[in-house]
Amino acid sequence: MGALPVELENVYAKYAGSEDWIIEDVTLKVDRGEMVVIMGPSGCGKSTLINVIGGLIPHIVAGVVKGKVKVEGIDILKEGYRAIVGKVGIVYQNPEIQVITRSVSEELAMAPENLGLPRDEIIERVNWALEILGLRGYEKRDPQTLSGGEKQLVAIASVLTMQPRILMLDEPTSMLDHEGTKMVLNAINNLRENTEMTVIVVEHRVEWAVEVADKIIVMDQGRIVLEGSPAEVFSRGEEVKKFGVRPPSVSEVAYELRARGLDIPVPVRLSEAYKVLSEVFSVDRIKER
Amino acid sequence: MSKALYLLIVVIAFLTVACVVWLFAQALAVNPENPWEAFPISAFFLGARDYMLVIGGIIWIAGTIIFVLELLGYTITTSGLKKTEFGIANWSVVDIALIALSAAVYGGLLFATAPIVLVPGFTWLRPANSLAPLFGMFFGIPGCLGVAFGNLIADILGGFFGVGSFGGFIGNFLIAYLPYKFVRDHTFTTTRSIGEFYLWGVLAQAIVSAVYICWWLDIMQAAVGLPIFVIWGIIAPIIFSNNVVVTALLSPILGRALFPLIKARGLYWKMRMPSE
Amino acid sequence: MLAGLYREGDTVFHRLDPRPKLAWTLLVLAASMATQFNGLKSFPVFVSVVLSLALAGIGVKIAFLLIFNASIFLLVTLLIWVSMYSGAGVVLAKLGWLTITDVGLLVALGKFFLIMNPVIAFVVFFASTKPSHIIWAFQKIGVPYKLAFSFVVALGLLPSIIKNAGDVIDVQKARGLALDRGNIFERIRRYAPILIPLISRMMSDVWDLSMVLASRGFGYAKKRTFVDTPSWGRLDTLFLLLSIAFYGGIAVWGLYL
Repeated sequence: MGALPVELENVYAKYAGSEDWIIEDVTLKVDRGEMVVIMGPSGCGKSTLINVIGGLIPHIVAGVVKGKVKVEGIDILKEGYRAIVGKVGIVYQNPEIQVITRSVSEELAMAPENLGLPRDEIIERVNWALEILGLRGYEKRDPQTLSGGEKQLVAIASVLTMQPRILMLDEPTSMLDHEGTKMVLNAINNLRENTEMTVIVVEHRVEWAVEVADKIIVMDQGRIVLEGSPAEVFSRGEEVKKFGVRPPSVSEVAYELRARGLDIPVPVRLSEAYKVLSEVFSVDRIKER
Repeated sequence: MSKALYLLIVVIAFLTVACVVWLFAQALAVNPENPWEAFPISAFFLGARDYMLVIGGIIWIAGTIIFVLELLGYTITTSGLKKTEFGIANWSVVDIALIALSAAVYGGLLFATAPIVLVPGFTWLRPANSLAPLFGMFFGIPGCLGVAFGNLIADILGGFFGVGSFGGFIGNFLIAYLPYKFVRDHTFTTTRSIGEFYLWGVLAQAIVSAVYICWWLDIMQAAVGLPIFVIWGIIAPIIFSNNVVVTALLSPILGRALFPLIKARGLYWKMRMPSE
Repeated sequence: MLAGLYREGDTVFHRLDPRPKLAWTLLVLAASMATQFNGLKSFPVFVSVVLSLALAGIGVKIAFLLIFNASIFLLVTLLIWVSMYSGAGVVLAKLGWLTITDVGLLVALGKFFLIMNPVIAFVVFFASTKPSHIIWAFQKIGVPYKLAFSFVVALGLLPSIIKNAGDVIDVQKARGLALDRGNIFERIRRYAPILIPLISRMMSDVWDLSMVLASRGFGYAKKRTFVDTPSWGRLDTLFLLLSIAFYGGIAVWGLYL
């Protein structure tokens, strides 16, 4: 059995000059190929957690990290972030700062060029990334002229060409409009279905998260307060809301019905809600639209 | 009120120009073969030119050597050459990002913010220049390089890139470098801090950069096409006056507001950890 | 007008390797230097660089825009050159104290082209050469990759920085900031509410950009691969030979004939 992609044990982290820990006593294990969505209120340490896993704190961003942080079996506190370059790809919130060349194909080639890979292999990887994200035809386009959603797709593609084993996305849709958000979330779904990458996403869109996530982690004040499958997490409605996370709308309906005396399971997905409501209203099946 | 003042300044400028032209006409009448000998202003600059060539040459050689040494990771101190953490070999991604963003912000602002024009085509003030000494003081060598690249970028964007731009590159590096090297207190909250800044970040950098750039233009005259009088009589005073006025008026205000923010964001060069 | 910023295109100049293009700009400079005392001889160089703007898909309008922007400065410079040579040649006109001779006019014209020809040639160079090719060319002449890369990233970030600057200026103006009112000192100080938010934003961007570069393995490999490298072809050789012949011929004409 190979090493786990991500293994954190009793991890504390803070930035240089900060008195308080930003993340506290975090223990987390992520399995190979798992899709994990991290949620929580602003400032609860989600981005810090991503940067600790990526080795960027304390090696790029000055800070203090205590505990055990192993990525692909490598102790990155000891070995540094360079030990996992190429194995972990990170996509950030702001698409403007992630597109720095003057053509999409240059942007996609940059990371494998930095790794010193052979030219033919880089071209193959660029073509693969263009294909898998639906960016064929964008090769010569100037990234600066693209929409926010397109820029973010280019940012994702530009780390995909490293063929990382772990892909992390830190609020990739927070600066995008509705169209852009749809583009990016569909792309993440696509990657999950067609690759064996382990994906960790910080994302607030709960209806999307429950459809795709194997595991949901809720953070609050630097700690992991809830962890489990979407059903496990959102069955604890009061707790979820206490930690500033909005449950799926279908779950909220179920909470209300349960509060009024109906003993029904809590659906998290629309498809589950149809089943539950069919039983409640004793009809054979409510037709799905 | 401001329109009247502006008009007054323009009138004074034109009167000055008219006076200069009249003096030149007088000089032509006195010596048609070589009016420059009789023309008082050119006589001053041309008379001082030999001294300027020597002083400028010393400044140019010293400035260029300092630029190369700092890039190689060495700095000149009173006890000789010392190794630093800021040579190219040590640059981390944070240094690259600092250089790139300082250059983009400085060059972009030089280009995007309209100059305050005093005499059209001749005298203008560029508020964005006030950032140059601050980038050096706060970000160290990456900030100094960002200013150098930023000036180059402004030249490229504005279509002014040419042989003269090479002088502008290191000249602008020195505008940021001198306060980085010699100003000790960067807070702008004490008399000492303001005093040091005015000495090194206003006066010294303005003199050094004007002389460095114009010496280069003078030596490269055959490739640049500017008469000596324009180089030392117009360009040098423009560079000097612009660098003095905007840094004197605006840099302390910006520095006092930005220094705590820069420290809080962990970007102050004295606080940054050694690169991997 | 972002005169020197790279514009994507498929023109003759875009297809050229950066090395013959750089050689061309230097040849333009050399020919302009050789003919700086006779504007008639440097006129063909001027025509060639203006044509190159068209060939590079930039448009000849830029040349005249550049000249117009610097018109007063150029005018005074040229008047000085005319007056410096007012004792030589045939007197063409007298405007008050200013005596314009044929020699003075030719020198002034030659100096004008010496100033403008290289400026226009470099606009063509930067606007038709991919930034990645500039890095590659810099590396070939020994400039360290990190230095060249920083410069090219700065060029890449420019459009959004300029846009941000414009947005901040608009927002502050909407909040009552009057940049064109008050005396000179007040007008300079009024830039503080523009510059401070921009620098504050820049600081977040520095950390974001450095994390982006780190996560893309910047500086990882000792020998970095370059996928899109320029390649010297027949067009480049032809272009270089033609440039040497044309500008070389003009230089000889200017210096010796």
